[in-house]
Amino acid sequence: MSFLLQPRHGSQLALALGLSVLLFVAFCLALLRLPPRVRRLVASGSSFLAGLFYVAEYVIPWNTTMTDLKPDVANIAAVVAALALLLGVTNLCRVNLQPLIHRRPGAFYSVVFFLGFAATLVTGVWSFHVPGNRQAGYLYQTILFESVFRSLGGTVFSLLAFYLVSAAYRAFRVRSAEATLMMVTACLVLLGQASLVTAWIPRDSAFYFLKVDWLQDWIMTVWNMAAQRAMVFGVAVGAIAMSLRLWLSLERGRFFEQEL
Amino acid sequence: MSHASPGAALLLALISGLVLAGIFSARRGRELYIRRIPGISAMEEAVGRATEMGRPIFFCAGLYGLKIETLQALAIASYLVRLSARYGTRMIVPVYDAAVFPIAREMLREAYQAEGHPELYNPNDVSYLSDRQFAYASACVGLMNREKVTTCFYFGGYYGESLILSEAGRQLGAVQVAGTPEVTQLPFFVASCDYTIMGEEFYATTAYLTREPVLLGSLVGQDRAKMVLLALVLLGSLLSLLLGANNPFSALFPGTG
Repeated sequence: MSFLLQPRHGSQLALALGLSVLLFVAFCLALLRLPPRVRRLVASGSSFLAGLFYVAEYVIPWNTTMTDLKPDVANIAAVVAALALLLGVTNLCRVNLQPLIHRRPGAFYSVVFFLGFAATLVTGVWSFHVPGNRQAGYLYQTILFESVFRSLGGTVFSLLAFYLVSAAYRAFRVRSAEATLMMVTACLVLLGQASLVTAWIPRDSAFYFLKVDWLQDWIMTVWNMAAQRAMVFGVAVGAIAMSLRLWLSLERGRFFEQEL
Repeated sequence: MSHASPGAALLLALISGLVLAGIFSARRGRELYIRRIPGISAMEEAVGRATEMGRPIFFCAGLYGLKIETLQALAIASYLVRLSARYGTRMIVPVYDAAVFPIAREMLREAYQAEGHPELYNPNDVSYLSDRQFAYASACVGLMNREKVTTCFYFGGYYGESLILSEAGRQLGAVQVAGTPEVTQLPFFVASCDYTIMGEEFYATTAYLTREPVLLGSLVGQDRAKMVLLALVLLGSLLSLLLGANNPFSALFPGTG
């Protein structure tokens, strides 16, 4: 097992990669030739075994061979995800190629996509294979990632400030008893953030409970926390139930019913 | 490496047992009742509105990658695709994670096939956009504007982009239904969407929509598990009050005191 999992370099890496791809294609072809019932059994069996591995590793209270193998199993999942990334990129290219071929409006944006894609791919591969190359690293890290990508991401993120104001305005409109209660609570929490209003009340005063920052803390740590924890309990139980149905293939009809 | 404490392992076994008992009891044909959830009831109306307007439906399965929340969101999408296929309405499903992309595409294709309209399936309706949060959000907003969507569904796990997406939909005047187990993003969806399916209701959605015995039974099992959890919370609080923080009960759950 350790022979299969140890890292490879150079020609050994190329050979291992080639063999893995061949094995993967052969496995997929063999799976497609199987009758649907057997295919379903293979899918259910493999998902059950994979789930059993993680459940057993978690429930057994001491470290076992499974604990040592956990990172390698995670690597297998990463390899499958990497193959899916190839599918995703192919789709992205196909979707952006169509406006160019049919000269549809908005084809300019597809040109921008292909230019950005090519620039990132070339500089990324270049800087990865020649780690000491300052030019490649500068182009990839400083120009494309920090100057272009991060700035664009920051611009979209900054939109949140405006959206927050318009959403808050709608949420705080007094239309019902519940909305009024929410508005009063929100005002108290907001005032609590800027506690100047009641800053003059001394800590040993009988009116300390009227201090806005104390009220804010009380609302957040008692009422809000209690409601959030109740919700988290429900969500966790729901996630366990859904995982159990998927693990035991009880929810088989939801995904790939026809295909399997 | 972290392992389950004795209490956590026992609790996991108990919850799993209750859920499985619910499923097997429902499979034996026991009648089960679920209360009405307004957000879920509104989903059919929202699909109907898109059909009337002749515009596509926008479905976002969240940004959690291939996790249980995304699979639940895709199960909801599967039902909605069947419903929209029945009316001949398009559904656009932009995908954030490449690993989710082939699953979403197959799900959409099979749903159209199951409804007897394989010709309505357009592979371009499921597109992988980006696995970067704000690049994905801006691509979604662009898509919503270009396609002039009138109905938007946001299901799955979200981060800060939840408000960007839902406010963009609101500006378009779309009917919006959201459902997420992510507690921190719920206020944003509540403020921007017409209906919000909260927390645990998110996992009840497929049971409510399909009325499948397995899902209904699982829901009943979940409710029983929550009752057990409530009893444990009360017991733990009582023991902490009477015996202090270091009582035998808290020893079962180390690190929670």
